[in-house]
Amino acid sequence: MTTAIAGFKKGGVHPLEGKELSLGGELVEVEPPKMVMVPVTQHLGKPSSCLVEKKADVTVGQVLAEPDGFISSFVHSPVSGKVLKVFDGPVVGVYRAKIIQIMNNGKYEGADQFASEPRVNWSEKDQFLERIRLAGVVGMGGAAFPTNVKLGPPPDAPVDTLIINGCECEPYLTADDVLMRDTPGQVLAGARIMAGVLGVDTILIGVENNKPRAIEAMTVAVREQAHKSYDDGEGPDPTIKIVPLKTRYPQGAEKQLIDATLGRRVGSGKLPFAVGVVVQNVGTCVAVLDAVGLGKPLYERVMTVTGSAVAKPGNYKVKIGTPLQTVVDAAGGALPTLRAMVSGGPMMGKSLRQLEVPVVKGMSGLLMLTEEEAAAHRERDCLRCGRCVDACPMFLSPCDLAAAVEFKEYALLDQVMDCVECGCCQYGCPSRRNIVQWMRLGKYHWRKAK
Amino acid sequence: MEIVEATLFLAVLAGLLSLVLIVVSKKFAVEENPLVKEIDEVLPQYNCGACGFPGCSGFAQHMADTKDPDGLCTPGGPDIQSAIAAILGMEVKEAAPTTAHVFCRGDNDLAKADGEYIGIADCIAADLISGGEKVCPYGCLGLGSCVVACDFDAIVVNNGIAVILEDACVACGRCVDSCPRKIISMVPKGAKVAIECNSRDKGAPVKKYCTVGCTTCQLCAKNCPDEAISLVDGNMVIDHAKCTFQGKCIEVCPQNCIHALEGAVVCAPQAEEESA
Repeated sequence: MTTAIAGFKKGGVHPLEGKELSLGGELVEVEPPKMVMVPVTQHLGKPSSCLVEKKADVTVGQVLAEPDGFISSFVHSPVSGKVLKVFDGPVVGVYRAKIIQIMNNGKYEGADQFASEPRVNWSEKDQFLERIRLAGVVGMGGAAFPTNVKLGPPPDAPVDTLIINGCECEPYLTADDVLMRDTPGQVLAGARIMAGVLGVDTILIGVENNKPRAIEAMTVAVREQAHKSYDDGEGPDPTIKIVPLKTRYPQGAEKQLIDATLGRRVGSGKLPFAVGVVVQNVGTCVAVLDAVGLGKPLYERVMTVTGSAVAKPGNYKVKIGTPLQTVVDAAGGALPTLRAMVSGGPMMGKSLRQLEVPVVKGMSGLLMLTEEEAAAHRERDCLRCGRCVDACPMFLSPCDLAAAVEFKEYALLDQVMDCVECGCCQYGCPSRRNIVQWMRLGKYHWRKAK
Repeated sequence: MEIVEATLFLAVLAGLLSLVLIVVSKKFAVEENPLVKEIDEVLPQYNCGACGFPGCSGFAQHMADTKDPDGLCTPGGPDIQSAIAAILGMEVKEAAPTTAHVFCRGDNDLAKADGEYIGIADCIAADLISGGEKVCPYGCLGLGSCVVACDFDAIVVNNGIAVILEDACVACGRCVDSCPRKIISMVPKGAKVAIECNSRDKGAPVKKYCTVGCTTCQLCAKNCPDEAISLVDGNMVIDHAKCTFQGKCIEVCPQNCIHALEGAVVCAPQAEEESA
């Protein structure tokens, strides 16, 4: 690369990457325990409604919950066995949510139908979207927005480009990196299916340049047309381009990625549809290929278990509903230096208070951090240095918004809903202000006042 | 001589201007319902907003305009209520005085904590993320949003739990709105007993995280001679109108989360005499 590498225009930070920790070993499959706990709602949107009752027998891939509304999703059983109970228990980010507890009989009845190589029959193209919906595919990057909704743009918004998000800009996480290195063909095939559904002929794959091996593997796959090896029949032939991006957080945020790859700017309160773009994660691509090519529902995913306080950091293939404790045990267990646990990445992840919560579809990582990594500080007064203003990729003035919340001037909070809570402002704050938490509180009060 | 001239000039000027003022004040006088002032004078001037109007004068205006039979100054109590009724010539609305009460006793010693909270000292902010330090997702966070909300210094946070000072509480209800976990609610001032737990979990998890948490074993409901206790939405609730305070519930509660309120006298011995 001799030319300047693309990136988003305003703000952002470059935190310590820490990705090498989890990139050593192979992808390990985690055996689910005797009890799995599948939350009924695992997506963003309207809660799903539970379909199974106590003592029901379930097989792998059986529907446990169905969507209740348009922006809602299916949930399937990751194991075969008996439903023990449906109870209210803790899920990441929620105090009490409906959870289906299944006694795993260890036989995985029904799993063999999903074991073969996916084949994409392009003559059935009009069924693809329905298959994605039935498989309960949601965005795997973290937000877990139902994929089929994202693939059905409103008629007044013509989409011309599909952007595949391979940035993985969160420090420490490498799950997407591993997918692109190990299975670039599947990522491309899934992207091509989504492009086919959308009817677009340009696919841009944004990858940050701190993942040279992923960029290389993807470039080779594009050159060799690896995505066509899954074809039955003649499929569309979109232009696929790998776009290396300058490593900078939050490159993987939808609006920043569109800015970096296409130079288009999505306005405040608008969706990417408004500029003719759909953004999907690389993990979602693989899930879409499985859904369309095999009819395989989304009941397992790759997640990164990392941090200096876990014995074997790496990437693990886990079934949805596996308690995090089992995942940590598979990663060699926690070390005594453990100080904090985070679900997701260090910038936007949610602090965990216990490991007895299940893996959900949107969980991209689990961090086991030491005192040094998770140093927390009491906040002091704002110096008005303006570093947060420089760092904010959303053109906000975080210090002013935080102050408005602190002093209960809720009339000044009109812009607060633009905040994506990426944490860039707080990352560089010399006064260690809890700006993101102030923003969340501001959003709460803003919604309440409305 | 100059000083006399100046004095005279100013005196005449003052006289003329005062004449103008008198004329203007008569001519452009705003008709005001005299009742507003009268009512406003008897109100406690807390400006707490419990009535739902902006301050005491707002409430006075509303009452004078509409003679709203439901209008109520809770902090004022029965005396002020009857004073307003006398001014407006309407019937006195019977309103039992209430007081705020914290339905949680899980302080830092009694409720289990499993983390360290480093963040904004605001209960709503803490509740929006994973909560405070205590495990119980229903208990008092102890960060004092209610203390900030209270204008009457009637709440203190003591060892991680909010405590209402009933003598200072005027029952304006601001703390009730400020609590993200809805732990504070109003109880009738004469209430004798309270089940001080807000948890809606089942017994097993409650026992894990709190030593004074209600496990909804319903022993109190079964043993209540007045049948005043029932399970509503995962919570044991006392019907204070039925309760004659025999004190049975306090005795039988295995989790020790039912307590006699201040000033209540157990009348159980008397009841035994009557039955004997």
